[in-house]
Amino acid sequence: MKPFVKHLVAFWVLQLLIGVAVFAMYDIDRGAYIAAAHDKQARLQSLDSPKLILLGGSSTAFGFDSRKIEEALGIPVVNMGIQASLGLNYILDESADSIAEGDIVVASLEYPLYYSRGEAALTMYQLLEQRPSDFRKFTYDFQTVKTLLDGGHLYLRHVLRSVVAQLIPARRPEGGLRRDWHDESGDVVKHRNLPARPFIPERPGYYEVDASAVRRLANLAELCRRRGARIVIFHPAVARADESVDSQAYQPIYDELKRSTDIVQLNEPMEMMYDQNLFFDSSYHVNAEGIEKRTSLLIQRLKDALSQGA
Amino acid sequence: MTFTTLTYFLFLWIVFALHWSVPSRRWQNLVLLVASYFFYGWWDFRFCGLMLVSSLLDYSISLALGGERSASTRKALLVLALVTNLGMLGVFKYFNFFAENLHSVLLQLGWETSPIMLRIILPVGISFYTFQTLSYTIDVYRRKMEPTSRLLDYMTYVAFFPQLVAGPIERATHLLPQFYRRRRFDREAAVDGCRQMLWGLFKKLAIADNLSRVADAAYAQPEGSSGVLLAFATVCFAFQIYCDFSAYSDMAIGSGKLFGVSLMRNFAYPYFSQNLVEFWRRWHISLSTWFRDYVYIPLGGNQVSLPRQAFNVLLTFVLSGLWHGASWNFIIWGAINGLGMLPVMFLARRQVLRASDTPGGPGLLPSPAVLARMMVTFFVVCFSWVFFRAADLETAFSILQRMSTEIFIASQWRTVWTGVNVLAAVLIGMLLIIEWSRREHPHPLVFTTTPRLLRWVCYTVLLWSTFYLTPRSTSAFIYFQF
Repeated sequence: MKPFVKHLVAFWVLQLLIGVAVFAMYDIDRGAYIAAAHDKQARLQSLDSPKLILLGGSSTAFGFDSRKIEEALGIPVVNMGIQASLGLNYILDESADSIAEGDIVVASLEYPLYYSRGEAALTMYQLLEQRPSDFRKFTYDFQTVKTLLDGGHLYLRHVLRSVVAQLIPARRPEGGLRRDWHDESGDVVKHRNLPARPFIPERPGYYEVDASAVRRLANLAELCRRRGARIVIFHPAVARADESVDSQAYQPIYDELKRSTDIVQLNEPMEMMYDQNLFFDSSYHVNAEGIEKRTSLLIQRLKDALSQGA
Repeated sequence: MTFTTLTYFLFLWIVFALHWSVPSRRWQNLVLLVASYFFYGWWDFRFCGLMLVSSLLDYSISLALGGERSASTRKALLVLALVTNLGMLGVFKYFNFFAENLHSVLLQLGWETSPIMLRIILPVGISFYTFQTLSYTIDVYRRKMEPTSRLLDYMTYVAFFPQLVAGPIERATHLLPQFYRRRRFDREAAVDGCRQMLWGLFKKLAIADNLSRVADAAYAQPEGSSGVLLAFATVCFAFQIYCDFSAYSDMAIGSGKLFGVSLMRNFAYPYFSQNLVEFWRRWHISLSTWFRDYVYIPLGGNQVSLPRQAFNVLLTFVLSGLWHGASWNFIIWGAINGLGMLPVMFLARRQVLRASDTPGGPGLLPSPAVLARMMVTFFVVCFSWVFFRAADLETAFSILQRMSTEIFIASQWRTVWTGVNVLAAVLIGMLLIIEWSRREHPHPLVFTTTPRLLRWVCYTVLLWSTFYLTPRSTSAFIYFQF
């Protein structure tokens, strides 16, 4: 047994040393897409109330024209959307400290966030490397710890690839989305002038709406109420895959929210099934035309709701 | 908890340390049992209850079988075991399939009904451990083994975590006795286990997950893919499912070796087979031998007339298809493989190689005739994989039609020329070269005379290339869904 353990330890120490060398050579990419979380948080904290806070994942980041909303409602807007794979808890918690009297919170959450926590390890690690202080913003229950542990090798892969890309100048880091694709409100704007990239519309699966997701939203609504702020739900636009499949997957979310909470829903999921030509590169990222359509609808419904005292 | 995660890595070495530090066989088994339930509960703790029920049921029935002399009571007990085990599998896996098909038939007959569908999740690995417990009861019934009264040993045999969720499906005659005695640490086996796990890790993360990007994209939208691309995607899927599933087996067997437990070989370089009979001796060996021993032979095997023998083969393969999932695609897939076996069984003149034989013969390169036979076999296997992978039968037929008509259009070949596809082709080529050159060993990382320095360089390169080649999003092991 002893020789085996000795060799095993020696082998893993060797790998650990290689790993340390790889991490020592690794430069954190401060221009990465996820680094925009810094800018959004800074804007959120700099704005006085009343303000409008857009919450969600990348469908929110890609999907609104904040300036147009500002002009229509006369209050500043901050688009906090980054990536759905940061998970529902993070998305709802990130802005909670800054919600104050008079604010309007618009939650436009990707539908899978109602089925599961939606956390993906790589995105969480990438956020943590940008802002280690966000470590305390994640909820460390069993599920999150499990996600982080299970996806550890994906972060190692990301670091290794970045180092190789640094060493071979001809190679560029993967993915086209960058921090500077955002404007000062937090909207992703650069894609509005780019040609669409082909993609296959996602076919949703059938899942039960997760009661804890609804509870989390209800908690946020309660917090808003206590602070004198208002919260509404505005379901995101999705590329239409198959009407009957979409309906069976998404409509229960609307029904469940209506049944279990008193949060005003400004729209129904099925009216947000857009044609594929209104999207940029995936089922949730609308293009300039899609942004126009979605933003106009939000403004109109929000005005109606506010006039009715929502 | 999947084998490719950091979680499993930590879990494995903690259990390893605990297992070898306890004083007796009982404690060793207890460590493995607790670890196995923890491992299974990592997915969903509710699954553990189901496995516990399944284990206790077969344990009790087998004990009753052991003490029973009356043939009719013994038969009744066996039927009870079959009904409860297969009933459990039926509810979780097949209920919706049969309800849906019954609804379609009634609709054709003009009866409007609303089908009762169950909204339940399929517990991971249920097909595997159900077959394992069932084989134990059948073996006791056949008096091939004595029932055990040692509940702890038996439960460890059923739940042993390395092979719990995707096999190899172990026979009680082979695995259970290994829990009766105190296991001694075998350094050679443990070292070999580590190597086999490393090879499995590489096959899954670096090869299978990259190939899945090609196969998934083409099969998700076949109407948007050219016939040539669909053909290439099918070849990629053939290697994806092989690398995915055999990787799981390698990591299971390797993990087992660390605890002094020997698990059966599950794959023996199947794509070097020269006909379908040989292929099924080399592919998912634990399942194909299970069906041979518990379905084909009880049906009469090859001790019956030729037409009956052909029927037995077909029925066995259709059931094997159905084991994979409740869908007509799997049934057709099984039937194609069954039909493909028949010419070899009835017409072949030469001896079919066994899993333990070196595939393709001993030479450095295969002879043209051997190579031709391998390619024909691979072609038939790929043909059947189309049904296995496609979303439904209609899509499968449309893919086959597109492939057969568009493969000769020269301009379509350009559609394959993308970075992801080139990487996939390179990985397949590399895999074939490595496996062919090391095919006389159970896995390619068996080193006997290579100096340690060279071995360690090889392991290190393999480990870091695995991390490097892993795609951004990895997929779960394919066989978890079965």
